[in-house]
Amino acid sequence: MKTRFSSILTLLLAFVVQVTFAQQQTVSGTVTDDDGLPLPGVNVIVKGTSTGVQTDFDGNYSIEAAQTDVLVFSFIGMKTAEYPVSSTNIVDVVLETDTAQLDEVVVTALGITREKKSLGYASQQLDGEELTRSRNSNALNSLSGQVAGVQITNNSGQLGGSTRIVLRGVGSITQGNKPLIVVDGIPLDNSNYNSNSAQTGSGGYDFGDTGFDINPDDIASMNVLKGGAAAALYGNRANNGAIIITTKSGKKGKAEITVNSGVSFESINIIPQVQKLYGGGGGDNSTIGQSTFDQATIDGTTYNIVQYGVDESWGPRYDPNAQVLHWDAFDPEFPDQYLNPRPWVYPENDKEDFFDTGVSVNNGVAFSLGSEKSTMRLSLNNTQSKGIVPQSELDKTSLNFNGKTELSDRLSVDAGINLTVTDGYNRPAFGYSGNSVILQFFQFGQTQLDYERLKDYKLPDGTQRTWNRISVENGTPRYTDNPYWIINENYAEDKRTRWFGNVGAKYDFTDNFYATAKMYVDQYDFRVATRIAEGSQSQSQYYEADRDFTEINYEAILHYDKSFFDDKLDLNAFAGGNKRDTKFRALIGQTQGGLVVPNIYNLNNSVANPLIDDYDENKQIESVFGSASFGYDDMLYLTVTGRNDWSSTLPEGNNSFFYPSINGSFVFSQVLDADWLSFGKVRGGYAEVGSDTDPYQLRNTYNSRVPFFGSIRYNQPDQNNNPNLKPERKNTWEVGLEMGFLKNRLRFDVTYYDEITEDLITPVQVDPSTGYNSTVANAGKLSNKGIEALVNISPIRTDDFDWNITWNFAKNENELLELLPGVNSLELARFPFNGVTLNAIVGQPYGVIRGTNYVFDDSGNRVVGDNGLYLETPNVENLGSVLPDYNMGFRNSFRYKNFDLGFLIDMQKGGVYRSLTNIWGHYSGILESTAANNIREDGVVVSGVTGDVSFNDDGTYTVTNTAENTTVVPAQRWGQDFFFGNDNQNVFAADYWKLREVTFGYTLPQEWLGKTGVNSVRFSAFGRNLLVWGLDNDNFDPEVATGGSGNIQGSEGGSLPSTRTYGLNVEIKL
Amino acid sequence: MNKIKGLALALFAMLISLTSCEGEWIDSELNIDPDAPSDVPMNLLLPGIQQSMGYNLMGNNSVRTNNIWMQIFDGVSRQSFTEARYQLTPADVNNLWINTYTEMMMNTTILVQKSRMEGSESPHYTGIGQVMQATTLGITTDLFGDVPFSDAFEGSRGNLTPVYDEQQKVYDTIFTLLDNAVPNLNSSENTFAVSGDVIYGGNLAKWEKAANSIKARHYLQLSNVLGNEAYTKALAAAQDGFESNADDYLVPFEDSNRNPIFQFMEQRGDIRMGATLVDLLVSNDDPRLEFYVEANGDGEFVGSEIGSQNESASAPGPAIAGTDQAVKLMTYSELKFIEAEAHFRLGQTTEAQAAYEAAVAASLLRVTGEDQSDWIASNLPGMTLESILTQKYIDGVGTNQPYADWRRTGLPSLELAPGAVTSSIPTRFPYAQNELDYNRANVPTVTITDKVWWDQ
Repeated sequence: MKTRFSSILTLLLAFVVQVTFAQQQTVSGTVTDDDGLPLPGVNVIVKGTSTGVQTDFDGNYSIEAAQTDVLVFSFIGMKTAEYPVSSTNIVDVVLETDTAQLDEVVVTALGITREKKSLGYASQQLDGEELTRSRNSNALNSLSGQVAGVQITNNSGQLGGSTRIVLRGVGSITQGNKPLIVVDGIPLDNSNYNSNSAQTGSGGYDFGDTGFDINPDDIASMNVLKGGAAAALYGNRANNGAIIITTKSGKKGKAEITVNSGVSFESINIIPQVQKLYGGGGGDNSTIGQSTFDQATIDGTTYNIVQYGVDESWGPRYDPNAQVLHWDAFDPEFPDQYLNPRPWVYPENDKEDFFDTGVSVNNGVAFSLGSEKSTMRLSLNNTQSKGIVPQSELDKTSLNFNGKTELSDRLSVDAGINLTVTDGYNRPAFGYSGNSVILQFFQFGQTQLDYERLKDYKLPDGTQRTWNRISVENGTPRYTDNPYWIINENYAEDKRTRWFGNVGAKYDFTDNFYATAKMYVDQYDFRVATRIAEGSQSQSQYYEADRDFTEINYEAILHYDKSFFDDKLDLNAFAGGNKRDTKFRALIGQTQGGLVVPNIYNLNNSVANPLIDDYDENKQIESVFGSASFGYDDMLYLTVTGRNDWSSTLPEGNNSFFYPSINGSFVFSQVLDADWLSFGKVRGGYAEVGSDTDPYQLRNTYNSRVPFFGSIRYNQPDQNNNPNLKPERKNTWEVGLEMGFLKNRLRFDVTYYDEITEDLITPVQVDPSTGYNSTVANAGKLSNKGIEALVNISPIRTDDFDWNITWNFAKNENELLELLPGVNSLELARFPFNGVTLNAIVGQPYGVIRGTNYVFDDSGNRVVGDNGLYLETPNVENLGSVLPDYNMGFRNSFRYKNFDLGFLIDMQKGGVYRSLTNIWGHYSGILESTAANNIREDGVVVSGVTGDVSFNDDGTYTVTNTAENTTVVPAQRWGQDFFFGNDNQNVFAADYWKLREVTFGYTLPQEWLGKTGVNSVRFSAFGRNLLVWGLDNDNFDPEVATGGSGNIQGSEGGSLPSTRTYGLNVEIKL
Repeated sequence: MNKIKGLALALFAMLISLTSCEGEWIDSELNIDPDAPSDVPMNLLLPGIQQSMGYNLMGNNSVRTNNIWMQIFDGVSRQSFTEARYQLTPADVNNLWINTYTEMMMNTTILVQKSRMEGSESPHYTGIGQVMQATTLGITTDLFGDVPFSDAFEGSRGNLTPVYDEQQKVYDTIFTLLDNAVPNLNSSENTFAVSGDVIYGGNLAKWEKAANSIKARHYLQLSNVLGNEAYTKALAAAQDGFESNADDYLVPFEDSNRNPIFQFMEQRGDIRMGATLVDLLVSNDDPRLEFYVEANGDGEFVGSEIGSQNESASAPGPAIAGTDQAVKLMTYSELKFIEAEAHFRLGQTTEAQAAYEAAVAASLLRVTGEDQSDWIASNLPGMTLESILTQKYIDGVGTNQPYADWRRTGLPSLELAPGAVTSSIPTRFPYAQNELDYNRANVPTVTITDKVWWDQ
């Protein structure tokens, strides 16, 4: 119904009612669909004339026609029917559904609806049902695997975490590379405020993207505009494509209440595997064999004790007969445990027991109503989630209202408003930081700890009781806090209160000529606070960030739509202007030197002056734009557009930039009258898009720092700004072919595109001896070329049983063609430890991880040094790009009577990530591989060859005299070498296959509901991310190597495990 | 009907006018950052440079590593243990290099340029800038050898690949900067009086002594190149150098800017005191022991033997890693050691002995806060070249000088760490990764066991 409804709107807006008055009889009747439901808005035309009417909201029509006339009934999404007018005055018509729906209407740039077949570019629209059937609370995550050319990366285990969305590859070096998100015409901010250190995996919190605020249940459709041609009218901000979301609205002549309730559960899916044979201890990396317990004499008794001062697991082998004092045996306050030895065994409750089953409860209700003149919809939705890390919670409540009314025949007004409150409590820290429990679980920790026992994390006097004591006498945390201390005392909070809305009017000057005027507002306040309690291993601290964002757009457009030459030629033209004003403010404070009074989390409670960051930003863009679309005989289509932007962020001489686009299509099935071919279309488009930049990059200013002995410190920042910037440019073209066979039961759509972005405004890194680390320049040229394919097959289509298969595929080739002359690489980020970096390198795909490599002989064997460990290249080398080679989605859906079943398989091939957990998990003896094959007792012989290696100055080398390596090294030394040795040991392919969604639904038969007043009831069970396979390293889901939605990707620094979700939902329509 | 039509037209016209303000189509003033000034007075630049010199040049990225190599510290785990095995990659020194060039030397260059602004010449600021620049450049070239300077700091004018100056030329530049600083500091015409000077509180006489002392340091450093000339020139410069501990060239720290080694110990803590130093202190009952070395968990003063990863050894003590412990750009005691060595080399034993004793006395007084003449009388080792340099080594804990002196003299003699990845203790730092990445054509090819020019 949604597609149908939007079609009605289109027709209402575009169709010109022309009634001729002649001496004829009145023919009337009702038009219904296959199910007998009345169809409003059906075109009823006297064939061969321009006489026509539309059916009303009950499907009734009335038209003057002669007895010899033929009436043509047409409606988008239905097969056109013709009925001769007989002597009877009543003609009731049933229109059959055109299941192929190739006349689908899609929402294009600036909210203009278009017949899909008229578009000269690829477009894939998902309706709300497709997005909500697996009940993901983040609407954007639901795109994963569904749309060719859309790459989604999200760590499922991170409660409400960031979602990286890339459409057709990366087009900019340092700007966001995020698509524009538009909800009912409102450009919706989708910022991510994760710290740089969170993004690189060095540690922090993931507070997600602000695009999380969209309520999935309010979405009627989501159209992904991937290419330049599709998005050109949006101008510079849609440089990376656009996602156009249309929300549900009331239906004319119908009142409906929809109630939705669901519950879902989340459990761990992929988690690093831990060895279960040896417990904590420092070990000895110089010997093969296991270490022993420490001994301590307490009150005259000598005990075996665990080495609690170390945070590694190279300790003695488990032995139920060995009695030792565990970490909790040193506190007289706990008499049961005090000096009470326990056996040395793998714990009953291990790390995995620390995690909870996440629970998410979703409730929503929507009221919609429509009269002849007005429609409205009101919805209220609440989702309460508890994450897998105990005590982590995320609530989202949204209220959405929209309405539209026709004040007169010519004037209509509409308004929509959405209020969303996203409230997070105790979102887990991740990465290599003290508050990240992952650090102590898999990087530096002890494996024998029983997590049930760790729950006693406090002494009666309130001080912490951790397993990682400084010494027997001193229980102060050495390196690591008790994980229950962390989640109870060092919690984070965040809250975003947001409203966005629009108000607009449409006025018809004549039947062909109308104007629209709109105002769009998006505003939020986002507050984040994190804390480290007094008594933690780290100095106590309070951090608070308060960010305010406002964007207002004013838009006015004049439209002219007319048909010529007996409706053979259609023209849709419009021209308009937009003013955009964006303001952003941030006030961020952090205590310094600790908290004066414990447990008072206030910036004024700082030992030293708190660090304050006060940031304000304002940007304006003025635009004018125009578009003209021509359609000839439902067969040939052409659209030209142009837009000029004036941006406040560019210097006066260069701040105006114009960019055109042209696209067209030819529906060749109209001329090729072949039975086997149901539909055929070729299309092509070319577009240029200009782009501005962030504010304040034109001149150098001074930065202030914390005062030094009372003297304010200013210094020249290390970035050299540029007063001569000019706009970035993107040139794109694409061609596509769509065909449908066998009554459209087999359809495909393929696209080839080629995009070049150049003059990229980039802070290019330079030699620091220039006085700067980077200089802002129009530097860089990136190329993206790719293929997208979509295939739909309907092997079975009967009244009772349907089977549909959808397969989508996208391959993108990305290459950085140039930076500044003489500059060949640009560091995007530095991953924690060992100088491993993420880079843009000329001649390579974007996002190359660089670090030292193995040394290989001519046959590709890894060369082992005299010490029995892999050699390492002296220079850093390119270890692969984080971008995948290709992505594929495969959906099957079945319907049998009232049952439906669907599943989606999503795969990625290629791309790499680097794992810090792999480094430390080996170093510390925690990972399963550090105790596999009895290596602690027997030592390790790494697979490779020995040989003579001579290095040249330029880093190249030759290897001679190779022989199989036979050197045995102690397991601990081998484990430590993941840190000391080459970086490529910790870089893995990001390939995966995932069973992304499974849904099973049952809709109660209509007859059961009878006259209960209930229109429909649907139960569904669903699962997300149920299975993962095809991994390079089974300890990690490659999607966890993301700490934000920006360009910094591919670093696993201590990520939460990925999860699977399953649940139940019921939807009732009244 | 017409009313509505009129209203619609008015509304539309209003929106059109909102989107297109005549004349001021786009306001370029909007792009002026409201939070950051485009210019600041010199007194606001000065403290930032000084803080960075203390934190980065002395504290964190340079001293920590080379004091591990000098066995003053020992790296017992993680990255510090790597460094203890002499693995130091271009990426490891990136922060040091970046801070040195973009924070210290670039901002000092701007400071000096401002101080010469026509109409408001302020040679006192010029002189301070020159002394700071020479100090930073001196430590930098001692670690890296040939470095960019004469062609550097021109990034905003488009010079993105500065050529390297040979170390000999860099040394000439250091001496020129210091020679020019003295008349500037003494200039009678000066527009803006110095303020914001955390190091000397605007005391120009002390800056002048610092200029001469730094000059003495670098003349002595040329002993292998110039022979006796190095000693005579060092002594000549020392004449007008520091006169007591009160003249020490120190960067202090405070709660909101805590001592860099303190911060390192707090955040990563992977170093302990080295056994070589601790044993020297213990065996000679040196009163500096408890100031340099913190008692370990067992209440003992234990150093970590190189390569032993002894995490239960003692951590650095309050004179090194106290929260607000100042770091030493140069001290009176170092100047006295310079004089002692120079006199000794020139055969002037009496003067050498006096300077040697004065040096150790100054060191003890500075570290312990008490006069230690009794200990000097009974425990001071007899004067030899080795004892002068060993005492200078003890005094120079937490600075770059022990490493510079050891390379020049081989004293005190140190053993190669077990598990070393190099065949000898490194004799220089590698060039930074950013240099290799962005200015490769100009960067000399070196390994960390190569020697800088004055070390040949």
